[in-house]
Amino acid sequence: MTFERRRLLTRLALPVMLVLVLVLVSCTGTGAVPRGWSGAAITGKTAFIGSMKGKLVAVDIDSRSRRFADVPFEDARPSGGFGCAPGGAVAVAIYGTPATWNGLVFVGGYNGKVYAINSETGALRWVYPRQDFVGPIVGGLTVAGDRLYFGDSDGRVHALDAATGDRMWEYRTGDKIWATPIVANETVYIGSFDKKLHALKVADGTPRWTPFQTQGAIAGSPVIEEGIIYFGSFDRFVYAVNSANGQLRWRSSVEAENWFWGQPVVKGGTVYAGSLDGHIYVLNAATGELIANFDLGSPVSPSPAALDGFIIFATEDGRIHRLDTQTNQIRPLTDLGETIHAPLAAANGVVYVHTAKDILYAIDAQSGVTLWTLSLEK
Amino acid sequence: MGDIWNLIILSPVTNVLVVLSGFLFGSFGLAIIALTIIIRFITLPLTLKQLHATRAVQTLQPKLMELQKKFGRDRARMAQEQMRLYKESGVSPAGCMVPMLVQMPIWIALFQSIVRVLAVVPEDFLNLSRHLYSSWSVVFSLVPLGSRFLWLDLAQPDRLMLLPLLVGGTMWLQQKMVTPVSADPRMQAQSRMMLWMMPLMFAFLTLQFPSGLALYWVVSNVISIFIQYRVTGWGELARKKEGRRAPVGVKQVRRVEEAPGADIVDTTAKEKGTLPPDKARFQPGKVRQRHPKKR
Repeated sequence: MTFERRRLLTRLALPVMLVLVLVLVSCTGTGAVPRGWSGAAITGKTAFIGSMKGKLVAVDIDSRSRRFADVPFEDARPSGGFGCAPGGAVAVAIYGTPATWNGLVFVGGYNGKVYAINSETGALRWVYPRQDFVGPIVGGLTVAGDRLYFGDSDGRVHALDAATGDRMWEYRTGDKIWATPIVANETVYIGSFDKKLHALKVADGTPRWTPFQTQGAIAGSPVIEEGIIYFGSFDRFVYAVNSANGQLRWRSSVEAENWFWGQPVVKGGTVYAGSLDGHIYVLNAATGELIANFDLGSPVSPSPAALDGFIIFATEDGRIHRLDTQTNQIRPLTDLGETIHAPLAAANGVVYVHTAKDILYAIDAQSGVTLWTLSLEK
Repeated sequence: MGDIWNLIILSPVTNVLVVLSGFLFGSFGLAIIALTIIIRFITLPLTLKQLHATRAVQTLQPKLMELQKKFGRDRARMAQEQMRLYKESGVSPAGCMVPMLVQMPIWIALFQSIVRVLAVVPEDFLNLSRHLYSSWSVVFSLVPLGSRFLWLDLAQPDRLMLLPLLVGGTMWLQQKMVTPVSADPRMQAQSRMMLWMMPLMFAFLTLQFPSGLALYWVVSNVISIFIQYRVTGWGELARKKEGRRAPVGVKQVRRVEEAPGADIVDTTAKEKGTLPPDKARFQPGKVRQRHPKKR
């Protein structure tokens, strides 16, 4: 083989190799396919949850059977690059925990649609927007009064008539919203990736006070207790802000080593906040001083669940811990051995955990025994 | 393997991109441009080596043509002689590959970083937290970065199709500059095919991948063109341009004129344009050797 021919073959081999590598990365390398991490909404004897197959699953807690056939949410999509992403009907990823109200279940899809489903039959009541889409919905939905509130990845806060799906108002923040809003004192509080906590009047969506600025994005939902809003930020601090005027009460005395992702819990004058650095920070709710710090060894991304006298935390690697709020002692409850991103839910002494393998676990909050499991893949 | 990749490639690229965007007014596009310049600066010795190898191949063309004349029919001997010639001249076939191979992991890491840093998919963005350096406190506050840059959404392919044109165009230009003229017509044809194949392929890839990656390719190509120009001039592109602008004969006559011992007849008429274009061609018969005058 001549030198020139070898040189040409070398040059030909490069693009071929390049295409192969890039196709490989495109198809598998980044895992860049939205799958969802919906938590469970417990209403009476039913758990409503969004599966990773893009379906609303209604589980009868007593009989562990489905209340009605899973409701699929699909989106039409053209086939993707190199045929990696198949075209046609594609399941919609569901990240936000569904909300229930007056015989309806609300589900926000990553396709930018909100669906209202009859909680008894699974029939579709309405969809918002009827035409077109809003930004991808990652945070959960909140119902207060007769209105439904949620944020989208285009940075908009939406208020809808919960019964009809009609738009009441819309407010634009500076960046993506992945947090679930909370409503108190006629005000909607929601954090945004624009690094601000926004307070909007429920009546018309206008700001109640100048948005509170932090140094990092806010992905976790805030919690309100006795007129104070508590939330964590990507700047690795926990904040306490006066809900009436947006004034800072304190910023945590300790800086975490990674983001605060999930929602904190406030109990008995103490704030419990899990961080992606694998620690739970226990702070004095009045001053922000550190009381205790527990290293769980894996990111605490799932929002915890509060029960009487204790809080259940989960780590990303699948371990469940129980923190006693009287003694501030923590102990491992069980190890599911599966990745967990979804917020935990709890009712009647049982914790509900949705794992990345799309399995719903019901765990006894006292003993850590798995009461039952249900595969949501179907 | 994945941990090593993250440690050596992905995490450094991600953190540097985030920090750069912090310095560059929060613009992820400017951060990609700055990263490209840094990477091309680091790999400059390799690039120069490649360019010198290419230039060496070009300078060997007369000798290769001689070999072609001498051993054209005996292919085995021809190959042997060619290899010997290249070896003696210190030209390595791998020399052209290295800079591109070095950049490939950067491309992949850049693609993965873009998807994570711009929060395209929640799972990837959550995973990003594992790749941020806890000692660089600024990176935690800066992400997610804004995906808008000029007309582009850096997380998505360019819908206006300008970027594929830019990627293809700059790559063609760069390829044209470095592609040497071969003595072998078949090799020449294959070179021509490669000249078009690479730009078309990258233009196609630009339609598939986030604009941020294509932005890297464009900037990288422009830098290559600049370096190439500084080292070897316009290369083949200049020869083509000259060939189109002026009648071939004029340039060739000039070359002959510059050669020692050669003289030109009637060049002034051609340069003044007094000859019709079809006559203004190099005519070998009109070149005469200069003889020293007898005293």
